[in-house]
Amino acid sequence: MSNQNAVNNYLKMLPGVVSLPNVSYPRATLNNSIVGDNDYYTCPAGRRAMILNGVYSNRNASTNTVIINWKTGGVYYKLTTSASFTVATNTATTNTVQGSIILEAGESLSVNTSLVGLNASSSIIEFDSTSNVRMVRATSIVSGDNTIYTCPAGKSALIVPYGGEPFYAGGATSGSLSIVSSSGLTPNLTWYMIPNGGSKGNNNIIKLLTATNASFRNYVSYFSQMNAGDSIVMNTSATLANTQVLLIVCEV
Amino acid sequence: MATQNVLNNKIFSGRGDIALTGVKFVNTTSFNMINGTTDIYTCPAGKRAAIYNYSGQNNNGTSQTIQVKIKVSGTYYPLIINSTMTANASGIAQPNCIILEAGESISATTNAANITYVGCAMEYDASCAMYTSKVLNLTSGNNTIYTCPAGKKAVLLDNKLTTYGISSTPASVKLYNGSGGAVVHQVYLVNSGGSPATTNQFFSNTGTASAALLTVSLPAGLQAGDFVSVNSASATAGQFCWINVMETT
Repeated sequence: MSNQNAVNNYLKMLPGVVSLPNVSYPRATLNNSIVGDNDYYTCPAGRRAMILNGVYSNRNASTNTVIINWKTGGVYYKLTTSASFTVATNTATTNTVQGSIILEAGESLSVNTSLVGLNASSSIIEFDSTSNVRMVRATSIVSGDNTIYTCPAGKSALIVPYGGEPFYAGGATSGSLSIVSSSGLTPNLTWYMIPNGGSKGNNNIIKLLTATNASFRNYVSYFSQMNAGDSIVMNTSATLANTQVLLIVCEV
Repeated sequence: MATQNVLNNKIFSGRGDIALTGVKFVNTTSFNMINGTTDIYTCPAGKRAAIYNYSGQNNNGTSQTIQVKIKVSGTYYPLIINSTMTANASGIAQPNCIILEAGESISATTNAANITYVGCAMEYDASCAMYTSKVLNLTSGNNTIYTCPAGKKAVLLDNKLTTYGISSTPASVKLYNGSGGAVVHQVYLVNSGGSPATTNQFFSNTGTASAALLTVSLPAGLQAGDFVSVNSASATAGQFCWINVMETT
């Protein structure tokens, strides 16, 4: 019999396809927020952390305005798909992050609150950074075409849809390809999935987003398998500072 | 017996964090039950049994009801509110999954004959650290529903006994109020060494209605000594509370 973790698979995957080595579920709770940024979970060395569900409970006598952030390189990026959300007194909200995210070592999950009194708890899965499940990040986004990801030679890849469930039976409702930004611009974004050896064209557009508010998170619902050499390309009408384009892949 | 790879993850235990041994699937369908309460399946010695899906099929010609329960030491505790099924239709849109310990039973109460319970159970060895932490009758004040043991970590499971992510209903605390009256409840997630307080409160209400089911979302990983507490304003019996958990090292 295989031991714990040796046979683990990945979420709803077909058995044995992808292993998440040395899985654990860390505590990620925030008790009584301060006003401003509250980093309440940091991914440890040698690990990755997939952020799953979260609950945000406001115990302040006034409505609390909340932003869920991903902190990387000392910079906060909004994970929510709006500038912020509110939580009324003595209520809680969940599922405010549209699409999963995987932290690397040293990166944090954080909430920014307008008032004290917010309690939070998130479900997080930690695993070794040797896993073939990872979050691709493109950080230098210039006007024109930006190749976000190319499936490596000798590999096939799966773009992980909403919720981190590669074979999510209900369909990818959000979050497969996403862009987090504080540029404040409103660019037009066009996403492409270009087959190996092909070129960008109308026949491989995934999605066109016009006048995208690049002040928080935007996403495109998309799920696909990719062969070696296939690429995801994002065309933007403007150079975007303080921006990261993200997608989660598992390569086999 | 199916291999570990097949069983360990596909349905339960999310990402394969624990190995379930001695697994066996059990058909717990009970055809054309009597009018009243039927004990459908009892978990055998040395095993746990995950009741991971169930529904009712009304083969009676008129609208009828079904309520699925667990039976512990001869007493029944509802897992769902009383569900109405129209004639020749099925019911129970959202079953609440639970894991039985040895000797505990899954049961159903119907208000007419010719109603079928359709259900699935998976037995596995009782040594596997995936189970339901149950408090059969809350008392007035703080009730500890679950404490992560020394040397362990734990994750609360969702309603389908998985640790799945943001696309599913989060892990939750479940409470059926069978006390006969509305009861005020609060839920706390308390770090080791702490105590229930506003700073770790995740839910409060002005009253859980009688014969209602309370579901409080609480996605969380716990360290040793962390615990979940539910405060009740009433000592009246019938407030059944449970959490599905999986423990890892």
